[in-house]
Amino acid sequence: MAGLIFDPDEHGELFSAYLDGELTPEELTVVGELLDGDEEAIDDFRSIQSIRKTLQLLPEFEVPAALLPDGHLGDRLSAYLDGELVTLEHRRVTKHLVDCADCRAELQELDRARIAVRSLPGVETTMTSEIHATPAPHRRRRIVAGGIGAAAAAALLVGLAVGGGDEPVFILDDLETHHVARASAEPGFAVLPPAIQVAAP
Amino acid sequence: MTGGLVAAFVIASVGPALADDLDDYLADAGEAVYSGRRVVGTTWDGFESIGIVDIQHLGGMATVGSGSSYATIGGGRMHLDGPTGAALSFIGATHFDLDGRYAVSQGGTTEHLGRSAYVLEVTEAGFVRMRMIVDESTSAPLATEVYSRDGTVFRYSSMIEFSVSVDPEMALMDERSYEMMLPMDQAGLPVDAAGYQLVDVYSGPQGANQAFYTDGLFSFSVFTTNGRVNWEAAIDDELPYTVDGNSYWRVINPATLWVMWNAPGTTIALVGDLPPDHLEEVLADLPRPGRHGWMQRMWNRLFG
Repeated sequence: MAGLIFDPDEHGELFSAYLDGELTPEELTVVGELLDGDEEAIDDFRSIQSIRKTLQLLPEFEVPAALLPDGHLGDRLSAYLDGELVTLEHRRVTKHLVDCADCRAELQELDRARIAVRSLPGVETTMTSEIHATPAPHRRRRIVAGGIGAAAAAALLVGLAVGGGDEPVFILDDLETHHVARASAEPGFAVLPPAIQVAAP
Repeated sequence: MTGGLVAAFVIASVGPALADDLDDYLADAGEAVYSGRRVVGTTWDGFESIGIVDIQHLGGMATVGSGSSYATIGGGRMHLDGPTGAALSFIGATHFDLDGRYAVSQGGTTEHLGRSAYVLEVTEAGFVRMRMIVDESTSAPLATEVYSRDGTVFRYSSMIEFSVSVDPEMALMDERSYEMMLPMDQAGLPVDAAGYQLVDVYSGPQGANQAFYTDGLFSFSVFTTNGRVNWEAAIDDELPYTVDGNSYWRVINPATLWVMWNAPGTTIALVGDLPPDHLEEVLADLPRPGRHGWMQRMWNRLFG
């Protein structure tokens, strides 16, 4: 414990952010220490967890468009892209995006701009790219529609990227990637293990 | 991934919070914090596909992989590290009433890897569809078995190493630019396929459309594109598969199935984790394999 004393006001916020997966590594360490034997901290953590679960079960009500500034998402789009929206707010924005073509287009623009900025020289790379700097070979199963003949089909068996023209192409690994990414938004994903990059033992 | 795990914290002292229903348990499992190594396998018609992955789970995100190749997945987002490096983000989430199809009951307590655990049984129409061994402290799924309707184990997963420590760098895993996948309006596919709801449709990879279906527990995507593929010639590890007299090709992976076929004018690939009996019912509701589209449709319309 190293002398860390639980403060409900200060650490309650940390617990909430922890449950939303928003902690920095340093904050994560603090939470870990607090939950490692401090009964008061554990009680508070359980209480926040319980309240959060109850809130998630509350029915959602449509906010009348007239009560919103202009009926659209505005600044919340940036927050959405930055992953700053949580729980009900995130779900509301997601629902609005599904229904509103204008906001979807604005979100795409924002996302393109964000990618462009990050690609500028001098912009910091993320920790993610540092952690996974070493690429590994990965077999990609590429399927090209009919008419390419046996030679091309034989090339596909060894994973060469051939084909093209107007013929449709399926890369099955990409399809799986897209499926698993979408499925991860569903509650059932918590118990059914992800499938990506599984290597034979 | 970074040369060994760094013990960030321990929450084993947070006592058990047994789930009252499946929704509760899935919410708890989604928030569980753990790391370790998991074996995953699928057995179907005498064929078996097995894999082992390292996993770290924190804040609703899981980093899984093996060797130096990893994917970070959760909340509709995924990024791959390796040659593809894809980073995708899907707008869409469903909140299903799982009680409509599944019921959950406690199946007693047990131990797994020396840890206190309890058993959850998920039943569907009176038979056990899934059995889970759940870590009492963290709610992490220590082992899972999915059953076919004939009572055989179709898929299993089991942690073979388990720790409540995670790499603190996991907290930074999600800082990345994602390609936003935005929903489209129509798929031209049924809105309900054997109890699976068509939740949303996206413009998928290689110009295909992706229609995402789920029943809240299992899910699959149907990818469609114009044209025909000679599946038999195109892939090396497919298996023939016949349902209701119709011929398909399938690939069995440790945690997913691929089923591919040509419908009139369309190439279709289904990718998902649903059990075989569900799959057969789903395929009956989707466009059938065939070449002479109008004749088959007329025949089906006239004679069923």
